[in-house]
Amino acid sequence: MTGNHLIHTMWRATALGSLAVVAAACTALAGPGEPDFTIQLRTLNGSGVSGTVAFTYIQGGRTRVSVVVDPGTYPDMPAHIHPGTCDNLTPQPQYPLENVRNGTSTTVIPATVADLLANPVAVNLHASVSDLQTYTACADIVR
Amino acid sequence: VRRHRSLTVLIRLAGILLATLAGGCTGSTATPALADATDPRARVTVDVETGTGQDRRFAPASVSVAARADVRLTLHNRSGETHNLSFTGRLEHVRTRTIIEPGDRDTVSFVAPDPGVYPFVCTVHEGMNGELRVEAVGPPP
Repeated sequence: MTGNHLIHTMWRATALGSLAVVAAACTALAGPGEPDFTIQLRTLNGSGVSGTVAFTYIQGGRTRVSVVVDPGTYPDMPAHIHPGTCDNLTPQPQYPLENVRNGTSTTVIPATVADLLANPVAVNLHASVSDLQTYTACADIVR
Repeated sequence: VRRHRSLTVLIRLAGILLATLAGGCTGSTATPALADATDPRARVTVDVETGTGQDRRFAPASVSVAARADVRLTLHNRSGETHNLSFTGRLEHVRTRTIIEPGDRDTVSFVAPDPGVYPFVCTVHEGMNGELRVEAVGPPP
């Protein structure tokens, strides 16, 4: 092996090693982590939808909101975080969430867990895109 | 030899820069605010915007295309709130991203179905509605 080849090979090895280290670091940072807290959804209107919503702090003052439900007969439910409580909900959402498709939804919202707990807010799920008026489940966000 | 290598590197860098610029330029295309297509063979581009500020409406709220047209529908969120565009009923599978931030846009592509009226909504804001009117196409002249 010539000197040039040796240097080339060393450069390649160094570059690949660096990439592996960066990828591992990114994976660690973006990992799901343990939720800060989890709340139980209350079934509404006899929908049969039940499950949980987990809140996990992530860097940058954001929170990952993960909904996991038994969707019953509702495969695609719009979901939001609204001001107010389940019994007295402000119709205008504060944070839209990704639709709950086949029972799961994950959304990163621009608010901390402390922000969410500062005032009454609630997570609610709607029957479908075509039927936003019918709520299938709701949970007050309290610790 | 060193000067020759430097020159080669410079030429390569210039090539990469030019290719990047060319790619970026070809990505931007002007689109009309409303397309009323009658040619099903045409690729139809329809722009729907939201109202500005807190104005929760689609503009235009009704757009028309020809049956079987190849449609590209873009929602441009010009408001200060999060929106989306989701069809209901038979076109329910056609939707933009659920969360389109203010100033952002998203495009969906689909083939226009049979003639009829196909409603769409913003799932964040109840009552924010629009419709796609699919027109029948006559026989070629």
